[in-house]
Formats: sequence, structure tokens, C-alpha cells
Amino acid sequence: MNITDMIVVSIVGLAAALVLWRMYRNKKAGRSSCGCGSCSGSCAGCPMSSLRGTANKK
Amino acid sequence: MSIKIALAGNPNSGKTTLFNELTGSAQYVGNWPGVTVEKKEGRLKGHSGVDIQDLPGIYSLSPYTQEEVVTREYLVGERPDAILNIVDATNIERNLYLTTQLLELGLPTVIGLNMIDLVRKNGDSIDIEGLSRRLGCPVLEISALKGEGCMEAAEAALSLAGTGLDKELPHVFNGSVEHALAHIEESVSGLVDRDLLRWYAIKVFERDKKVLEHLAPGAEVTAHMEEHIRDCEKEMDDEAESIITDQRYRYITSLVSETVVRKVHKGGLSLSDRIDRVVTNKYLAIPVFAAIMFLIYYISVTSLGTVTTDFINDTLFGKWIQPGVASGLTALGASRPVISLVVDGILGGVAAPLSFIPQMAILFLFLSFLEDCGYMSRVAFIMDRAFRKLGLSGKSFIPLLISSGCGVPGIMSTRTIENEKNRRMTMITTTMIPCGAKLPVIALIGGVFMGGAWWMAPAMYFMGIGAVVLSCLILKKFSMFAVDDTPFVMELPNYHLPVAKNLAMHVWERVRGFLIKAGTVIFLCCAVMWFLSNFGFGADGFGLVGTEQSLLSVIGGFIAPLFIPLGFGNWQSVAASISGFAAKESIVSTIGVLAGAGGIRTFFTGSAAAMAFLIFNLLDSPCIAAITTLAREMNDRRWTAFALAYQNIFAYVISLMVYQFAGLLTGAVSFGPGTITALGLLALIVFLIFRREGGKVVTGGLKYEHN
Repeated sequence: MNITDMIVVSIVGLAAALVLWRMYRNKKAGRSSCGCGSCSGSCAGCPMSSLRGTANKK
Repeated sequence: MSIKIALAGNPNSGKTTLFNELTGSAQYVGNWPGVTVEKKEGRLKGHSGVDIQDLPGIYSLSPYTQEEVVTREYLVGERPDAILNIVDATNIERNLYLTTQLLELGLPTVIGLNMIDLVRKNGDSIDIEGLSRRLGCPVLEISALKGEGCMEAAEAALSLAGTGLDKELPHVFNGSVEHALAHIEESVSGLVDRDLLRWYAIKVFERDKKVLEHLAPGAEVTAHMEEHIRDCEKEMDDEAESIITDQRYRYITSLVSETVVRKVHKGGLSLSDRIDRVVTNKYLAIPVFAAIMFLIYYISVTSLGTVTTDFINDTLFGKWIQPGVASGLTALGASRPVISLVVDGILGGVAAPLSFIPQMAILFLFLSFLEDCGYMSRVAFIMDRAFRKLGLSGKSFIPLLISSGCGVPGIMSTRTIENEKNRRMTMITTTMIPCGAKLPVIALIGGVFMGGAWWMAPAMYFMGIGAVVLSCLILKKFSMFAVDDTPFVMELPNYHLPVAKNLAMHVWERVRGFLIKAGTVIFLCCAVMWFLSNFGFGADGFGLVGTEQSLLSVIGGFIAPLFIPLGFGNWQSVAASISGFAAKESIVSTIGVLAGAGGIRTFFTGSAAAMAFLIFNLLDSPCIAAITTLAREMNDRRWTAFALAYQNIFAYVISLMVYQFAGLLTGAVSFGPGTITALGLLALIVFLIFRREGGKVVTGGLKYEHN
């Protein structure tokens, strides 16, 4: 593995780690169902709405 | 501490449109009731310390539906500083019913008469000052859609926030009721806040169970209050709750007769009525709906969509980006495996679903248009009759419509279904409708194996509806799902031309979500899939190996035999299906990573196997985001497990039958154990559909035994 390979692999690895970290944080904060945030803010009854969960008290 | 202004009003009165206007948010706005099932909060533009709360639309403050419970608990329990009550001025009588209740909450209230532009257009007029005087609160004209008067209404609410309530409440009830209420107020005065005394007294009069449980006034006080309620009932010859409802409507009728002047229309039908005569016609409704959906899918997926998708896939990525990056990395001295990781693994994987964005954008533009103009509400109405026969109501069709965009809000929108059995059945089946993420899979299989047949995408949409129908026919025969027909009452909004901004917002939100997914879940999936498909245990131990020796090949190969009867018992198809649980778009990206030189055609023996693969992936468990939502909404692990098991078994059974029967017809399959199993399963499904219902049908707590 040469220096170019190491740089490219490190960039990909760092990007993946960053994505995982952001997903973890989103998930922990309850901002989206899977953590990716693609459903944030736009959907009916979106789990990202700030006062979520109140309608689910059965 | 911030000032909280709550937006309250009837469903489909324009609260979320107003919320977006006041806060600059981009919350989903739908032209059917029940879009908001939870509270949403945003900051009032230009006012740093003012929060706007968008509450679910409700018709009353009775705790009959979850939206009513959410709104009522918030207004009574958490108490905003002011209420901005949105009243649909085109349906003022019905909307004022809630207004009379909101005024009893003892909170500063401002009324925003929304859709005032339509009132003027109809030639009607409303005496704003008179209305304000009779109701004892400010009334302002607004048009949330055009952004007229919105900020003024919010600022009026803000100016009242936190002020005391010295004004007299409107005289809604007659002397007998007021007499009983006075006694109740006296009895519960030590138990509740002064501001809420009136509201609690009325609820006690109505014998609202939740309120009585909350107050727990004691036997002696209860008996005293009950005596006065019964006296009133005797005098009025009606039940307490009906007395309150009746007197509210009498008051509203008198109020409207004094303040609203309606233009007399000379016979004839309005434009909405004329359109409805065709689109909701007993015989024409379903063919019209089918024709519209076929046309939409044809334009977005087959004709216009294909051109743009081909450009992105073949030219943008295939000729420019991927070869460009490959030559760049080669010039920098990167090795072949690393170039493969970036070009085939990541770019190839991410490009595959991204190339379908134009198709999805066009599809959502059409669907948003249909929804915004008011047609989709009619579809729910049209489907009600058919759905009631399946044990569901038209209300269950709304989650299905929403699921054609994304399963997550589709599942959440089932909250508007009061009956728990109905709601569970809808949650289990709603993700069978192809969502936006499944569109790339349909387009890919349709394009490669069906020669780009124009009917593929709409056929898959209707197959999804068919799967829901079939599932409901089977499930409703079990006592845990058997329910009585429930009447479905739905307000049909007037047709109107959608606002371009709303349409653009809907489409952008979908595209944005898709791009975020591509940069997160799909990117990760591609990297993992590339690693698993290029690394494994070779002759020299763990390291880079050919795909046939890779970890993915081993894992996929272990599960693959299960799918041999379905025609796609190879590890590549199984790996693609598994990746679909992360995000459905990942199926296409994994195929992109694994396809290599041979392309997707090497995965399947023919079109029957490809169709079985497609149908399995359309009907099986949804992505992890939807599964998490399902688990949260089911609120019960056993029900969640049942839902997931049902979805996967159902998908397996249907795909098996599709492959076996289609294969038999095309000559890809010869008659054998697989075909016999498919015939057996078909017989079982027919039996489950036509068998007599289970012994008990539970309705409203009463059990009826079948003889």
C-alpha cells in the first residue's frame, strides 16, 4: 500500500466515521428514526418534531 | 423564558401553512385532515423569545382521538401564554364549535379567520367587529396561503400573552345549564386553577371520565354535582353531553346569522361539485383514479424520467465522473483495489440510486399536485366503501397515500385511526405501498428485465394496493383484527390550484431526504458492501480476494438456499436484499457495487426471477427507519415482532408464487416440488380469505358469539 492508497483509504474511513458519529448523535437526540436525518422536519408527524412522543402515551 | 403561542383549530384549517409562514419552517402541509399528529414548535420570525406551537387539528376538546388528547393535554396541562385559533372562514359554523370550547380554557385567545380570500371570492362577507364583540376576543382576517394578515394575528396574540382574563365569556348556555355549572364550579373550585374553573365545570357536566378521574372530587361532592346535572337533564329532556353540544350549536347558529352574510347562488353547482360528480362517481371513481396513477407513473418513470436518469447514470457518472476519478487516482499512483473502492464501491454504489432522483422528483411533483389540489382527499372517500369490506375504513387509506412517499410518516399517520385493531392492521400493511426509495428498484428491474415496459411502475403501485387488500382480507378473519365497520366522516376541501411554492417545497424535501440518505446510510452501505465483497479468507489468510471467496459471498451463500424456490438463490441477490433493510435505495447501490462487468443480468436466470426479487423487496419488512417507527407506534414488542414476521412471510409466499407460476408460463421453471408448494400456498390463501370468521368479534367492549 503506497502513500496515495493510505491517504484515499484514510479519507474514506474518516468520512465513514463522521457519518456514523453524526447518525449516532441524531439517533441519541431522537432527531430521526434511523439517525440519518433524511426524514427530518418534512414529514407528517415527523419523529424529529421537537415535542415528539406525546401522542404515543397509551 | 420564552412566550408560547399555540395554533389551534380544526383539521385542514391551515394551521401548518400558518405555522410555516410565521416561523419560516418547512413543515409538511397536506390538503387532508390529520396531517399534524404531534405538536411542532418553531420560533416566531423577528421575535427571538416567542415560540409558536402547531397543534394537531381537532374538532373538539373531547378526548376521543389521539390528536384531541395531545391538544387538550397541552392546552390544559402545560398552558401556553396565548392561543391563536385558526378558523376556516369558509366553514365558519363547524369551526366555531371548537372556538367556543377554547374560549372556556381561560387563556388569552385571538381568532384568525383563515381563507378570507375565498370568502370574498364567493361573494360572502363577515362582520369582523360583530364577531369579535360577541366572542369577546380579537378577530383578524388572514390568508395563510397568501401570507396575508398572518404576522398581525400572531402579534395580536403576542400582545395578549400573559394578560389576565377580565372579559366576560360568551353566553353559550341557557339558564338551566348555567345553574348546574355554577354549582359544579362551586364544588370543584378548590381543586382547579381559577382560570380553568369554567372549562372543568363544563367537562364535569358532560361527565368526562378523564376529568372526573383527574379531579377525584369525593363521593359526597360527586353526588351533589350529579344531582344538579340530573335535574338539568330532566328539565331539558336530554343527556348532559348532548345538551352542551346542542346549545353550542344554537349559539353558533345565532352568532353566524348575525355576523355572516352569504351571497345567494342561483342554482347550479360549484366547480368543485361539478368535478366531484365525475371523480367521485360510483362507477367512474376507481377507473379515473387508476388512469391518473398510471399516467403519473408513466410520465415520471418511463417517459420523462428515463431520459434524465439515463443521462445521470450513463453520461454524468458513467462517462464523466467515474472515469475521471479513476484516471485521477491512477495518475496519483493509487493501486487497483483502492481505485475499485472509490470508483466501483462508493461512486458506483451511490450513483446507482442517485440517478433515479429525477424520476422521484417528477413523481412527487405530480403526487403533491394531486394532494394539494384536493383530489387525494376524494381518493380516501372513494376507497372507503372498498376498505370497509376489508375491515378498514377510508381513514386507513390516508396512511397508504402518505406511504407512497415514505413509510415513516405513513406509519405515524395511523394515529388518526381511533380503533386500535384497525390501526395495527394499517401499520402492518401500509409499507407494502412502494415508497419513493423503492422506486429505483422498480425502475432498475423494469428497465433491465421488462424492456422498460411503461406499465411496470404503475403496476407495482397497484400490486402494493393489492397486497394490502389481500393482507386485510386474511387478517380480518382473525379475532385479533376483526372489527365492525366504522363510519368514515371526512371533510372534502374545495378544489384549488396548488401554490407553486408548496409544490416545490414538497419535491425539495423528498430530494433533500434522498441526498442525505445517499451521503449517510447509502454511503456507509456501499463502503461495507465493497469491503465484504472484496475481502475474505484466501490461500494466504485474510485479505483481498476475488468476489467468489469474499465474506459477502460466504454470508449470502449461507442464506441463499432459502431463496432458491423464489428464483434468486444466489448470494448477490440475497446481499442486495439484506442491504435493503438499511435503506431500500441500498438494494440498487449494492447491485451497483456487486454487478461488475457482468451487470445485473448475471444475478437472475430470467424475468420471472427478477420479478420475484422485486416483489419480495417491495413487500418485505421496510427499512430500519420505518421498523423503528413501527416499533414505537406499536408500543408492544410482540406486536412489532408479529408485524415483521407477517411482512416477511407474506413477501416470501407471494414472491414464491410469482416465480413458480410466471416461471412455469415462461418455461423458466418445470413442474416440481416448488410448483406444488406454490399451489398449496395459493390454496391456503384462498382458504384464509373465504373461511368463516373466527369465533368472536369484539366490538366496543362487547363480545358477540357467532352461532
